Amino acid sequence: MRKITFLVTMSIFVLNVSIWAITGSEVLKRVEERMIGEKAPKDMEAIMRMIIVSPKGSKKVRELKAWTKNNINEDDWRVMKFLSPPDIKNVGFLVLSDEQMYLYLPEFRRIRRIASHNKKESFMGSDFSYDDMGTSGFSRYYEVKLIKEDDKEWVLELSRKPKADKPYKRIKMWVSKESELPAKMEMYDNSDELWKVSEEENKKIGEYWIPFKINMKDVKKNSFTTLEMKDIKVDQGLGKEIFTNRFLRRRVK
Amino acid sequence: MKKVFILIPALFIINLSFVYSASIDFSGRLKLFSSIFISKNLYGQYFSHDRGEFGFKRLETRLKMAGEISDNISYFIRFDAFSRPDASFNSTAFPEAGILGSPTQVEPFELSLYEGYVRINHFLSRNVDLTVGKQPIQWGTADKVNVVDNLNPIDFANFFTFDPDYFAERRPQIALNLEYYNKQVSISMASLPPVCTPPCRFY
Repeated sequence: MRKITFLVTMSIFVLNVSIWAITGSEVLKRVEERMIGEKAPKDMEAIMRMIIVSPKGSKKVRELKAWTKNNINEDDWRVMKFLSPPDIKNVGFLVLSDEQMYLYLPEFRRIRRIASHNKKESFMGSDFSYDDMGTSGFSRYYEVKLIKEDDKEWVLELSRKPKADKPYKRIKMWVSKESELPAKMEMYDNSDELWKVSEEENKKIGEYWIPFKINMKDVKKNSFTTLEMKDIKVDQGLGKEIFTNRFLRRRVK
Repeated sequence: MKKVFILIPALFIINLSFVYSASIDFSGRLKLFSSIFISKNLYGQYFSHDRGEFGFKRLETRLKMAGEISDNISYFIRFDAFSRPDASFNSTAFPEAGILGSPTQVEPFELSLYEGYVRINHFLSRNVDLTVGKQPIQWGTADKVNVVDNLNPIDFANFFTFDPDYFAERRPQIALNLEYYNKQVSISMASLPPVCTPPCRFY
């Protein structure tokens, strides 16, 4: 009887090891390859529709144009310019790294650098923060652990590294095995309370998997923002001159 | 001589067609500052009012127009108009009368070209942009306290508005601004005409 129990226990252990043959770091590496690595588009241009829903249910719709450039092994660059509504038209946002984020305010003809203590503030009234809209990638700032796996997804737990300048203390991430991109994320604040929940819908465009719809919910405020991409163009060979303060000042056509 | 006269309208028409073929953005806003008087002052220095009356103290209009003449030439114009009707009204007085005017009262009105410039991208070289006209020139990108952004004077017109961005608003000045860009570095060379009350004296 003891032998049988021992054999069953061992077989469960071996089975478990074989199922979790992949580590959390390896899963995260696959995610980052899809987002900012070899398997990500070299560059991308898209029209984004941002729908902000307040706790009382009122809706604000904003449209913006976004350009991103993937610099493998370095920070990815991105520029966003608002197309509508008219009161924020031409407001621009440029990201060159986590420390270099600029907001252009056409009303004052002014480019403002986003200081690190402002990064967790709301991006143009939405539930995304400047940091959320910033450069992608997690492994630089978070320790990762695989906590669950099934046929469809891996579940990772990311814990902020001691000196990392990131607003979330902990992130629980559900990674789709099909797209190797996050399908859902729960973000926790410094008190380890649930702060935001993001859900992503990923779509295959050519050879790339792209998150074309992100729904970000601020659990504390009970508001949410949906960001939806359309007219996605990839690998156009976008020039470096787009990702500059000079371009940020230009009026969007 | 006749040829010159024909040429000028022709150039003018071509220029207009350029302007109208490009996309032009019109925007603006209207702000009305009103007050309610909690005490009576019939012998005030500027105008009299009774207790409980409303007063239109200031009307601000801002009109903006932006567009492109060609791929590399753009323009921006902003007109500001201020009116201080100082009109009070109550249930028996028609409010519009105060704004539209009263024969017994002089209504201060001011219209100014707040901003108006032409910008030429890639001026003589791909790395150079030229902006000519009444424009704000920003130096540095630091938030809140920016010690290098000291070319244009701070606009104190809306200083007490509870909008932090107003603290950063600077008044545009007539200038010629040549900007050289290289990667993420830019050099700005600005020339501003001297500001003085005639007769000007330079020491």
